[in-house]
Amino acid sequence: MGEELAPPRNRSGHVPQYRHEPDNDPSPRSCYTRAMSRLSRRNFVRTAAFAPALLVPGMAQATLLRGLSLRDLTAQSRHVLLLTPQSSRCVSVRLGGRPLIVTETTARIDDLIEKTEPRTSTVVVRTLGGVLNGAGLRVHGQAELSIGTPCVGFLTPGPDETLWVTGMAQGHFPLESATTRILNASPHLPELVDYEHSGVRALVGRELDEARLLVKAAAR
Amino acid sequence: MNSLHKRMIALLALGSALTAAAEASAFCRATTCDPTEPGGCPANKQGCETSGSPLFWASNCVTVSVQADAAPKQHVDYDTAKASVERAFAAWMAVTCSDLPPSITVTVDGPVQCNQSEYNPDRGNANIVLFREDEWPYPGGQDALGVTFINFDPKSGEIWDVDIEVNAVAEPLSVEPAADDVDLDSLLTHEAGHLLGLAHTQDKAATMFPGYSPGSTSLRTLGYDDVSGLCEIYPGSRVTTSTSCVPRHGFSALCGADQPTPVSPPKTADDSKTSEGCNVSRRPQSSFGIWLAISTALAAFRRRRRGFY
Repeated sequence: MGEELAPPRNRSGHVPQYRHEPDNDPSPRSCYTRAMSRLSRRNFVRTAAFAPALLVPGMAQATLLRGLSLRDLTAQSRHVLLLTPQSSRCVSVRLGGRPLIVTETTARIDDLIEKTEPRTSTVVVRTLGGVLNGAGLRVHGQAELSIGTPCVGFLTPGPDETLWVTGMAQGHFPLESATTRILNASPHLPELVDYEHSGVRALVGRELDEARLLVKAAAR
Repeated sequence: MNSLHKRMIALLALGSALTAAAEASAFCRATTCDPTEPGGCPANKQGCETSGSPLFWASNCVTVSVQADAAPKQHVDYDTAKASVERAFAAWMAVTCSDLPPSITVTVDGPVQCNQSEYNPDRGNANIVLFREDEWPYPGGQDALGVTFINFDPKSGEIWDVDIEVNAVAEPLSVEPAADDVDLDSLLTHEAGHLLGLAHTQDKAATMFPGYSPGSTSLRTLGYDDVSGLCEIYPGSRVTTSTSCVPRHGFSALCGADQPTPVSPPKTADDSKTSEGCNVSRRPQSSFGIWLAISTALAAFRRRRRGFY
Protein backbone atom coordinates (compact mmCIF):
# COMPACT_ATOMS: atom_id res chain seq x y z
CA MET A 1 0.00 0.00 0.00
CA GLY A 2 1.76 3.13 -1.16
CA GLU A 3 5.45 3.42 -1.71
CA GLU A 4 7.70 2.96 1.25
CA LEU A 5 10.22 5.64 1.96
CA ALA A 6 13.70 4.36 1.36
CA PRO A 7 15.90 6.39 3.64
CA PRO A 8 19.62 5.86 3.96
CA ARG A 9 20.00 3.30 6.72
CA ASN A 10 23.63 4.00 7.51
CA ARG A 11 24.53 0.35 7.11
CA SER A 12 27.31 1.42 4.77
CA GLY A 13 28.78 3.83 7.22
CA HIS A 14 26.85 6.89 6.04
CA VAL A 15 25.82 9.01 8.99
CA PRO A 16 22.95 11.46 8.54
CA GLN A 17 23.84 14.98 9.64
CA TYR A 18 21.99 15.68 12.84
CA ARG A 19 22.34 18.93 14.67
CA HIS A 20 24.27 18.61 17.92
CA GLU A 21 25.11 14.96 17.51
CA PRO A 22 28.08 14.50 19.83
CA ASP A 23 29.38 11.58 17.78
CA ASN A 24 29.73 13.91 14.79
CA ASP A 25 31.99 16.32 16.60
CA PRO A 26 35.05 16.58 14.33
CA SER A 27 37.58 17.47 16.99
CA PRO A 28 40.32 14.87 17.10
CA ARG A 29 42.73 15.31 19.97
CA SER A 30 45.73 16.05 17.77
CA CYS A 31 44.09 19.10 16.21
CA TYR A 32 43.03 20.29 19.62
CA THR A 33 46.51 19.90 21.09
CA ARG A 34 48.02 21.74 18.12
CA ALA A 35 45.60 24.61 18.58
CA MET A 36 46.31 24.69 22.28
CA SER A 37 50.01 25.08 21.67
CA ARG A 38 49.32 28.23 19.67
CA LEU A 39 47.21 29.79 22.41
CA SER A 40 48.78 32.24 24.75
CA ARG A 41 47.64 32.05 28.35
CA ARG A 42 45.53 35.22 27.96
CA ASN A 43 43.86 33.99 24.78
CA PHE A 44 43.19 30.66 26.35
CA VAL A 45 41.41 32.26 29.30
CA ARG A 46 39.36 34.40 26.89
CA THR A 47 38.43 31.35 24.85
CA ALA A 48 37.51 29.39 27.96
CA ALA A 49 35.31 32.24 29.12
CA PHE A 50 33.29 32.14 25.91
CA ALA A 51 33.27 28.36 25.53
CA PRO A 52 30.14 27.76 27.62
CA ALA A 53 28.22 30.03 25.25
CA LEU A 54 29.35 27.88 22.32
CA LEU A 55 28.05 24.78 24.07
CA VAL A 56 24.53 26.23 24.26
CA PRO A 57 22.48 25.03 21.29
CA GLY A 58 21.31 27.63 18.78
CA MET A 59 17.90 28.96 19.57
CA ALA A 60 14.96 28.75 17.23
CA GLN A 61 13.44 32.20 17.41
CA ALA A 62 9.80 31.51 16.74
CA THR A 63 7.22 28.85 17.07
CA LEU A 64 4.55 26.61 15.72
CA LEU A 65 2.21 28.83 17.70
CA ARG A 66 2.25 32.51 16.81
CA GLY A 67 2.54 34.78 19.80
CA LEU A 68 -0.27 37.24 20.49
CA SER A 69 0.45 40.67 21.86
CA LEU A 70 -1.35 41.57 25.05
CA ARG A 71 -3.56 43.89 23.01
CA ASP A 72 -4.50 41.07 20.59
CA LEU A 73 -4.89 38.55 23.40
CA THR A 74 -7.32 40.89 25.11
CA ALA A 75 -9.10 41.95 21.92
CA GLN A 76 -9.73 38.33 20.89
CA SER A 77 -11.19 37.47 24.31
CA ARG A 78 -14.72 37.96 25.53
CA HIS A 79 -13.76 37.52 29.18
CA VAL A 80 -10.52 37.94 31.09
CA LEU A 81 -11.13 36.31 34.45
CA LEU A 82 -9.47 35.15 37.61
CA LEU A 83 -10.64 31.55 37.82
CA THR A 84 -10.31 28.54 40.06
CA PRO A 85 -10.96 25.27 38.19
CA GLN A 86 -13.30 23.10 40.25
CA SER A 87 -13.94 19.97 38.20
CA SER A 88 -13.50 18.62 34.72
CA ARG A 89 -14.95 15.98 32.48
CA CYS A 90 -14.47 14.81 28.92
CA VAL A 91 -17.23 14.98 26.35
CA SER A 92 -17.59 14.41 22.65
CA VAL A 93 -18.57 17.51 20.73
CA ARG A 94 -19.09 18.18 17.06
CA LEU A 95 -16.40 20.53 15.83
CA GLY A 96 -15.44 21.23 12.25
CA GLY A 97 -18.06 18.76 11.09
CA ARG A 98 -17.06 15.71 13.10
CA PRO A 99 -17.01 14.54 16.73
CA LEU A 100 -13.96 15.31 18.83
CA ILE A 101 -13.09 14.59 22.45
CA VAL A 102 -12.74 17.78 24.46
CA THR A 103 -12.14 18.44 28.15
CA GLU A 104 -14.68 20.69 29.82
CA THR A 105 -13.37 22.37 32.95
CA THR A 106 -15.85 24.04 35.25
CA ALA A 107 -14.19 26.97 36.97
CA ARG A 108 -15.36 29.32 39.68
CA ILE A 109 -15.13 32.99 38.74
CA ASP A 110 -13.12 34.71 41.47
CA ASP A 111 -12.80 38.09 39.82
CA LEU A 112 -13.29 39.96 36.58
CA ILE A 113 -9.99 41.23 35.23
CA GLU A 114 -11.28 42.86 32.03
CA LYS A 115 -13.89 42.69 29.24
CA THR A 116 -17.41 41.49 29.96
CA GLU A 117 -18.47 39.73 33.12
CA PRO A 118 -20.29 36.41 32.70
CA ARG A 119 -23.79 36.28 34.18
CA THR A 120 -23.01 33.10 36.08
CA SER A 121 -20.70 32.39 38.99
CA THR A 122 -18.91 29.65 37.06
CA VAL A 123 -17.76 29.17 33.49
CA VAL A 124 -17.12 26.00 31.50
CA VAL A 125 -13.89 26.15 29.51
CA ARG A 126 -13.13 23.71 26.71
CA THR A 127 -9.76 22.44 25.58
CA LEU A 128 -9.05 19.87 22.86
CA GLY A 129 -8.31 16.29 23.90
CA GLY A 130 -9.10 13.97 26.78
CA VAL A 131 -10.15 10.41 27.49
CA LEU A 132 -13.67 9.22 26.82
CA ASN A 133 -15.35 5.84 26.44
CA GLY A 134 -12.09 3.92 26.28
CA ALA A 135 -10.49 6.22 23.72
CA GLY A 136 -7.94 8.99 24.19
CA LEU A 137 -7.18 12.08 22.14
CA ARG A 138 -4.03 14.16 22.60
CA VAL A 139 -3.50 17.57 20.98
CA HIS A 140 -0.22 19.25 21.93
CA GLY A 141 -0.10 22.94 22.85
CA GLN A 142 -3.38 23.07 24.74
CA ALA A 143 -3.88 24.93 28.01
CA GLU A 144 -4.07 22.59 30.97
CA LEU A 145 -6.34 23.95 33.67
CA SER A 146 -5.30 22.21 36.86
CA ILE A 147 -8.05 21.61 39.40
CA GLY A 148 -7.73 23.90 42.40
CA THR A 149 -4.99 26.09 40.91
CA PRO A 150 -6.18 29.70 40.47
CA CYS A 151 -5.39 31.18 37.09
CA VAL A 152 -6.00 34.15 34.87
CA GLY A 153 -7.88 32.97 31.79
CA PHE A 154 -8.39 34.80 28.51
CA LEU A 155 -11.53 33.21 27.12
CA THR A 156 -13.02 33.36 23.67
CA PRO A 157 -16.39 32.02 22.52
CA GLY A 158 -16.73 29.17 20.05
CA PRO A 159 -19.42 28.96 17.39
CA ASP A 160 -21.94 27.57 19.87
CA GLU A 161 -21.03 30.16 22.53
CA THR A 162 -18.95 27.70 24.53
CA LEU A 163 -15.75 29.19 25.94
CA TRP A 164 -12.22 28.26 24.88
CA VAL A 165 -8.82 29.56 25.94
CA THR A 166 -7.64 32.33 23.62
CA GLY A 167 -4.40 31.45 21.84
CA MET A 168 -4.37 27.92 23.29
CA ALA A 169 -1.83 27.74 26.14
CA GLN A 170 -0.82 31.41 25.79
CA GLY A 171 -4.14 32.60 27.21
CA HIS A 172 -3.72 30.66 30.46
CA PHE A 173 -1.69 32.00 33.41
CA PRO A 174 -1.75 29.86 36.56
CA LEU A 175 -0.91 31.76 39.73
CA GLU A 176 2.31 30.81 41.45
CA SER A 177 0.45 30.61 44.77
CA ALA A 178 -2.69 32.01 46.31
CA THR A 179 -0.63 34.30 48.53
CA THR A 180 1.99 35.69 46.15
CA ARG A 181 -0.50 35.80 43.24
CA ILE A 182 2.25 35.98 40.61
CA LEU A 183 1.33 34.92 37.08
CA ASN A 184 3.14 31.91 35.63
CA ALA A 185 3.14 30.63 32.06
CA SER A 186 0.92 27.68 31.17
CA PRO A 187 2.77 24.39 31.79
CA HIS A 188 3.05 23.33 28.15
CA LEU A 189 3.36 26.73 26.54
CA PRO A 190 5.44 26.57 23.35
CA GLU A 191 8.10 29.16 22.51
CA LEU A 192 6.36 32.12 20.91
CA VAL A 193 7.03 34.11 17.78
CA ASP A 194 7.97 37.65 18.68
CA TYR A 195 8.07 36.70 22.35
CA GLU A 196 9.35 40.16 23.31
CA HIS A 197 6.05 41.73 22.26
CA SER A 198 3.78 38.91 23.39
CA GLY A 199 1.16 38.96 26.10
CA VAL A 200 3.02 36.12 27.77
CA ARG A 201 6.16 38.27 28.02
CA ALA A 202 4.10 41.15 29.40
CA LEU A 203 2.29 39.17 32.08
CA VAL A 204 4.43 36.26 33.30
CA GLY A 205 6.19 37.16 36.54
CA ARG A 206 3.79 40.02 37.30
CA GLU A 207 1.76 40.25 40.47
CA LEU A 208 -1.96 39.95 39.82
CA ASP A 209 -2.86 43.60 40.43
CA GLU A 210 0.00 44.73 38.23
CA ALA A 211 -1.16 42.34 35.50
CA ARG A 212 -4.70 43.63 35.85
CA LEU A 213 -3.54 47.21 35.12
CA LEU A 214 -1.64 46.04 32.05
CA VAL A 215 -4.64 44.14 30.70
CA LYS A 216 -6.93 47.11 31.30
CA ALA A 217 -4.47 49.38 29.49
CA ALA A 218 -4.26 46.94 26.58
CA ALA A 219 -8.05 46.84 26.33
CA ARG A 220 -8.35 50.59 25.80
CA MET B 1 50.79 23.01 29.20
CA ASN B 2 50.71 24.49 32.68
CA SER B 3 48.38 23.65 35.55
CA LEU B 4 45.94 26.46 34.66
CA HIS B 5 45.49 25.03 31.20
CA LYS B 6 44.92 21.58 32.63
CA ARG B 7 42.31 22.87 35.03
CA MET B 8 40.56 24.82 32.26
CA ILE B 9 40.47 21.73 30.05
CA ALA B 10 39.07 19.68 32.89
CA LEU B 11 36.36 22.30 33.45
CA LEU B 12 35.51 22.39 29.74
CA ALA B 13 35.34 18.60 29.59
CA LEU B 14 33.02 18.55 32.59
CA GLY B 15 30.83 21.22 31.00
CA SER B 16 30.65 19.27 27.75
CA ALA B 17 29.75 16.09 29.58
CA LEU B 18 27.02 17.83 31.52
CA THR B 19 25.65 19.39 28.36
CA ALA B 20 25.66 16.07 26.56
CA ALA B 21 23.94 14.42 29.49
CA ALA B 22 21.26 17.10 29.52
CA GLU B 23 20.73 16.68 25.79
CA ALA B 24 20.47 12.94 26.09
CA SER B 25 17.57 13.12 28.50
CA ALA B 26 15.74 16.17 27.20
CA PHE B 27 13.23 14.56 24.83
CA CYS B 28 9.72 13.87 26.04
CA ARG B 29 7.29 11.17 25.03
CA ALA B 30 3.60 11.88 24.74
CA THR B 31 1.62 9.92 27.30
CA THR B 32 -1.89 8.78 28.02
CA CYS B 33 -2.07 11.25 30.90
CA ASP B 34 -5.63 12.37 31.46
CA PRO B 35 -5.73 16.11 32.26
CA THR B 36 -8.94 15.62 34.21
CA GLU B 37 -7.14 13.52 36.80
CA PRO B 38 -6.62 15.22 40.15
CA GLY B 39 -3.33 17.11 39.94
CA GLY B 40 -3.51 17.26 36.16
CA CYS B 41 -0.55 15.93 34.22
CA PRO B 42 2.53 16.47 36.40
CA ALA B 43 5.80 17.10 34.59
CA ASN B 44 9.46 16.73 35.52
CA LYS B 45 12.19 19.37 35.18
CA GLN B 46 12.47 18.66 31.47
CA GLY B 47 8.76 19.39 31.06
CA CYS B 48 7.99 15.73 30.34
CA GLU B 49 4.75 14.34 31.67
CA THR B 50 5.40 11.78 34.36
CA SER B 51 2.01 10.09 34.59
CA GLY B 52 0.29 7.80 32.13
CA SER B 53 1.74 5.31 29.67
CA PRO B 54 3.96 6.52 26.81
CA LEU B 55 2.33 6.52 23.38
CA PHE B 56 3.64 4.22 20.65
CA TRP B 57 2.66 2.47 17.43
CA ALA B 58 2.33 -1.25 18.06
CA SER B 59 3.02 -2.20 14.44
CA ASN B 60 6.36 -1.67 12.77
CA CYS B 61 4.64 -0.02 9.81
CA VAL B 62 2.38 3.03 9.57
CA THR B 63 0.70 4.43 6.48
CA VAL B 64 0.12 8.14 6.06
CA SER B 65 -2.14 9.62 3.39
CA VAL B 66 -2.38 13.13 2.00
CA GLN B 67 -5.59 15.04 1.42
CA ALA B 68 -6.30 15.08 -2.32
CA ASP B 69 -7.16 18.77 -2.44
CA ALA B 70 -4.00 19.93 -0.61
CA ALA B 71 -3.83 23.74 -0.47
CA PRO B 72 -4.50 25.22 -3.93
CA LYS B 73 -4.89 28.78 -2.65
CA GLN B 74 -1.39 28.53 -1.25
CA HIS B 75 -0.16 27.02 -4.52
CA VAL B 76 0.57 23.75 -2.76
CA ASP B 77 -0.87 21.04 -4.96
CA TYR B 78 -1.18 17.36 -4.05
CA ASP B 79 2.16 16.34 -5.53
CA THR B 80 3.98 19.13 -3.73
CA ALA B 81 2.26 18.28 -0.47
CA LYS B 82 2.95 14.57 -0.80
CA ALA B 83 6.62 15.16 -1.59
CA SER B 84 6.88 17.39 1.47
CA VAL B 85 5.24 14.73 3.66
CA GLU B 86 7.66 12.14 2.28
CA ARG B 87 10.67 14.32 3.06
CA ALA B 88 9.37 14.96 6.57
CA PHE B 89 9.09 11.27 7.40
CA ALA B 90 12.28 10.41 5.51
CA ALA B 91 14.16 12.60 7.99
CA TRP B 92 12.89 10.43 10.84
CA MET B 93 13.34 7.15 8.99
CA ALA B 94 16.99 7.98 8.24
CA VAL B 95 17.81 7.60 11.91
CA THR B 96 19.83 4.65 13.12
CA CYS B 97 19.48 3.28 16.62
CA SER B 98 22.63 1.44 17.72
CA ASP B 99 23.45 0.63 14.09
CA LEU B 100 19.95 -0.66 13.46
CA PRO B 101 17.07 1.11 11.74
CA PRO B 102 14.24 2.13 14.06
CA SER B 103 11.62 -0.56 14.39
CA ILE B 104 9.05 1.46 12.51
CA THR B 105 8.66 2.50 8.91
CA VAL B 106 6.26 5.08 7.53
CA THR B 107 4.79 4.70 4.08
CA VAL B 108 3.12 7.59 2.30
CA ASP B 109 0.07 6.50 0.39
CA GLY B 110 -1.99 8.04 -2.39
CA PRO B 111 -4.56 10.81 -2.03
CA VAL B 112 -7.62 10.56 0.21
CA GLN B 113 -10.85 12.44 -0.24
CA CYS B 114 -11.50 12.77 3.49
CA ASN B 115 -10.67 16.28 4.68
CA GLN B 116 -11.31 15.73 8.38
CA SER B 117 -9.09 14.54 11.16
CA GLU B 118 -11.12 11.81 12.76
CA TYR B 119 -10.89 8.35 14.22
CA ASN B 120 -13.68 5.93 13.38
CA PRO B 121 -14.03 3.20 16.00
CA ASP B 122 -16.30 1.15 13.75
CA ARG B 123 -15.23 2.03 10.20
CA GLY B 124 -12.16 2.42 8.06
CA ASN B 125 -9.53 5.01 8.87
CA ALA B 126 -6.58 6.84 7.39
CA ASN B 127 -3.76 8.77 8.99
CA ILE B 128 -4.19 11.98 7.05
CA VAL B 129 -2.15 15.11 6.47
CA LEU B 130 -4.74 17.71 5.57
CA PHE B 131 -4.83 21.43 4.89
CA ARG B 132 -7.41 23.92 6.07
CA GLU B 133 -7.56 26.98 3.82
CA ASP B 134 -10.99 28.45 4.43
CA GLU B 135 -11.57 28.21 8.14
CA TRP B 136 -9.63 27.05 11.18
CA PRO B 137 -12.39 25.42 13.22
CA TYR B 138 -10.72 25.40 16.64
CA PRO B 139 -11.80 28.36 18.76
CA GLY B 140 -8.88 30.17 20.31
CA GLY B 141 -6.39 28.17 18.25
CA GLN B 142 -6.18 30.31 15.13
CA ASP B 143 -2.54 31.06 15.83
CA ALA B 144 -1.35 27.47 15.61
CA LEU B 145 0.56 26.76 12.40
CA GLY B 146 -0.24 23.06 12.61
CA VAL B 147 -1.99 20.69 14.96
CA THR B 148 -1.69 16.92 15.35
CA PHE B 149 -4.60 14.85 16.65
CA ILE B 150 -3.40 11.63 18.26
CA ASN B 151 -6.02 8.98 19.01
CA PHE B 152 -4.82 6.27 21.36
CA ASP B 153 -5.74 3.47 23.72
CA PRO B 154 -5.74 5.12 27.15
CA LYS B 155 -4.87 1.82 28.85
CA SER B 156 -1.86 0.69 26.82
CA GLY B 157 -0.75 3.87 25.09
CA GLU B 158 -1.03 2.22 21.67
CA ILE B 159 -1.61 4.84 19.00
CA TRP B 160 -4.64 4.06 16.86
CA ASP B 161 -4.84 6.93 14.42
CA VAL B 162 -3.10 10.26 13.87
CA ASP B 163 -4.10 13.16 11.67
CA ILE B 164 -2.06 16.28 11.03
CA GLU B 165 -3.82 19.53 10.19
CA VAL B 166 -1.91 22.37 8.57
CA ASN B 167 -3.28 25.86 9.17
CA ALA B 168 -3.23 27.36 5.68
CA VAL B 169 -5.78 30.03 6.49
CA ALA B 170 -3.51 32.91 7.37
CA GLU B 171 0.16 32.00 7.01
CA PRO B 172 1.88 31.73 3.60
CA LEU B 173 3.12 28.16 3.12
CA SER B 174 5.97 27.10 0.88
CA VAL B 175 8.49 24.35 0.36
CA GLU B 176 10.99 27.02 -0.71
CA PRO B 177 10.19 29.60 1.91
CA ALA B 178 10.81 33.30 1.57
CA ALA B 179 11.48 35.36 4.67
CA ASP B 180 7.91 35.41 6.00
CA ASP B 181 6.76 32.01 4.72
CA VAL B 182 6.18 28.96 6.82
CA ASP B 183 8.38 26.15 5.55
CA LEU B 184 6.01 23.24 4.98
CA ASP B 185 8.82 20.68 5.31
CA SER B 186 9.83 22.08 8.71
CA LEU B 187 6.27 22.16 9.96
CA LEU B 188 5.57 18.61 8.80
CA THR B 189 8.83 17.24 10.21
CA HIS B 190 7.83 18.60 13.63
CA GLU B 191 4.30 17.23 13.37
CA ALA B 192 5.68 13.89 12.13
CA GLY B 193 7.52 13.64 15.45
CA HIS B 194 4.18 13.99 17.23
CA LEU B 195 2.70 11.30 14.96
CA LEU B 196 5.49 8.98 16.06
CA GLY B 197 4.74 9.60 19.75
CA LEU B 198 7.10 12.40 20.76
CA ALA B 199 6.01 15.43 22.75
CA HIS B 200 7.68 18.83 22.82
CA THR B 201 11.19 19.10 24.18
CA GLN B 202 13.09 21.92 25.86
CA ASP B 203 16.16 21.26 23.72
CA LYS B 204 16.20 24.29 21.45
CA ALA B 205 18.31 22.48 18.86
CA ALA B 206 15.69 19.79 18.35
CA THR B 207 12.97 19.59 15.74
CA MET B 208 10.56 18.78 18.56
CA PHE B 209 11.32 22.08 20.25
CA PRO B 210 8.10 24.02 19.75
CA GLY B 211 9.80 27.00 18.18
CA TYR B 212 10.07 28.03 14.57
CA SER B 213 11.04 31.20 12.71
CA PRO B 214 9.14 31.92 9.48
CA GLY B 215 11.50 31.49 6.56
CA SER B 216 13.69 29.05 8.44
CA THR B 217 14.26 25.48 7.27
CA SER B 218 16.06 24.42 10.44
CA LEU B 219 13.40 22.00 11.68
CA ARG B 220 13.91 19.82 8.59
CA THR B 221 17.10 18.50 10.19
CA LEU B 222 16.71 16.38 13.29
CA GLY B 223 18.67 17.10 16.41
CA TYR B 224 20.45 14.61 18.63
CA ASP B 225 17.55 14.88 21.06
CA ASP B 226 15.04 13.89 18.35
CA VAL B 227 17.12 10.86 17.41
CA SER B 228 17.36 9.78 21.04
CA GLY B 229 13.61 10.08 21.46
CA LEU B 230 12.78 8.08 18.35
CA CYS B 231 15.24 5.35 19.30
CA GLU B 232 13.78 5.06 22.78
CA ILE B 233 10.29 4.48 21.40
CA TYR B 234 11.32 2.31 18.46
CA PRO B 235 14.66 0.64 19.19
CA GLY B 236 15.88 -1.55 16.37
CA SER B 237 15.61 -4.59 18.62
CA ARG B 238 11.92 -4.02 19.45
CA VAL B 239 9.74 -7.07 18.93
CA THR B 240 6.49 -5.93 17.33
CA THR B 241 3.21 -7.75 17.48
CA SER B 242 2.14 -6.60 14.03
CA THR B 243 3.72 -5.84 10.69
CA SER B 244 0.56 -4.49 9.12
CA CYS B 245 0.69 -1.11 7.43
CA VAL B 246 -3.10 -0.93 7.22
CA PRO B 247 -4.82 1.66 9.44
CA ARG B 248 -6.97 0.44 12.31
CA HIS B 249 -10.26 -1.11 11.16
CA GLY B 250 -9.02 -1.05 7.57
CA PHE B 251 -8.08 1.73 5.20
CA SER B 252 -10.65 4.14 3.85
CA ALA B 253 -10.05 7.21 1.73
CA LEU B 254 -13.48 8.46 2.77
CA CYS B 255 -14.49 10.16 5.98
CA GLY B 256 -16.55 8.06 8.37
CA ALA B 257 -19.81 9.76 7.46
CA ASP B 258 -19.29 8.92 3.77
CA GLN B 259 -18.50 5.26 4.35
CA PRO B 260 -21.13 2.53 4.21
CA THR B 261 -22.93 1.90 7.49
CA PRO B 262 -21.13 -0.84 9.41
CA VAL B 263 -22.92 -4.10 10.10
CA SER B 264 -22.23 -3.96 13.82
CA PRO B 265 -23.63 -1.08 15.83
CA PRO B 266 -21.23 1.75 16.62
CA LYS B 267 -19.36 1.52 19.90
CA THR B 268 -20.04 5.15 20.73
CA ALA B 269 -23.76 5.66 21.01
CA ASP B 270 -23.90 9.40 20.61
CA ASP B 271 -21.31 11.28 18.65
CA SER B 272 -23.36 14.43 18.37
CA LYS B 273 -22.71 15.95 21.76
CA THR B 274 -21.91 15.52 25.41
CA SER B 275 -21.50 11.83 25.97
CA GLU B 276 -19.97 12.25 29.37
CA GLY B 277 -16.83 10.60 30.65
CA CYS B 278 -13.71 10.95 32.76
CA ASN B 279 -15.41 12.90 35.52
CA VAL B 280 -12.94 13.41 38.34
CA SER B 281 -15.51 12.40 40.94
CA ARG B 282 -15.47 8.89 39.55
CA ARG B 283 -11.80 8.36 40.29
CA PRO B 284 -12.11 7.31 43.95
CA GLN B 285 -14.49 4.54 42.94
CA SER B 286 -12.05 3.07 40.45
CA SER B 287 -9.18 3.44 42.95
CA PHE B 288 -11.28 1.63 45.49
CA GLY B 289 -11.88 -1.16 42.99
CA ILE B 290 -8.16 -1.50 42.34
CA TRP B 291 -7.44 -1.41 46.08
CA LEU B 292 -10.06 -4.06 46.71
CA ALA B 293 -8.59 -6.30 44.00
CA ILE B 294 -5.06 -5.86 45.38
CA SER B 295 -6.24 -6.56 48.95
CA THR B 296 -8.05 -9.71 47.85
CA ALA B 297 -5.00 -10.91 45.92
CA LEU B 298 -2.70 -10.20 48.88
CA ALA B 299 -5.03 -12.03 51.24
CA ALA B 300 -5.09 -15.03 48.92
CA PHE B 301 -1.29 -14.91 48.61
CA ARG B 302 -0.89 -14.80 52.39
CA ARG B 303 -3.20 -17.78 52.74
CA ARG B 304 -1.07 -19.66 50.22
CA ARG B 305 2.16 -18.71 51.97
CA ARG B 306 0.76 -19.75 55.29
CA GLY B 307 -0.14 -23.07 53.74
CA PHE B 308 3.52 -23.62 52.79
CA TYR B 309 4.89 -23.09 56.31
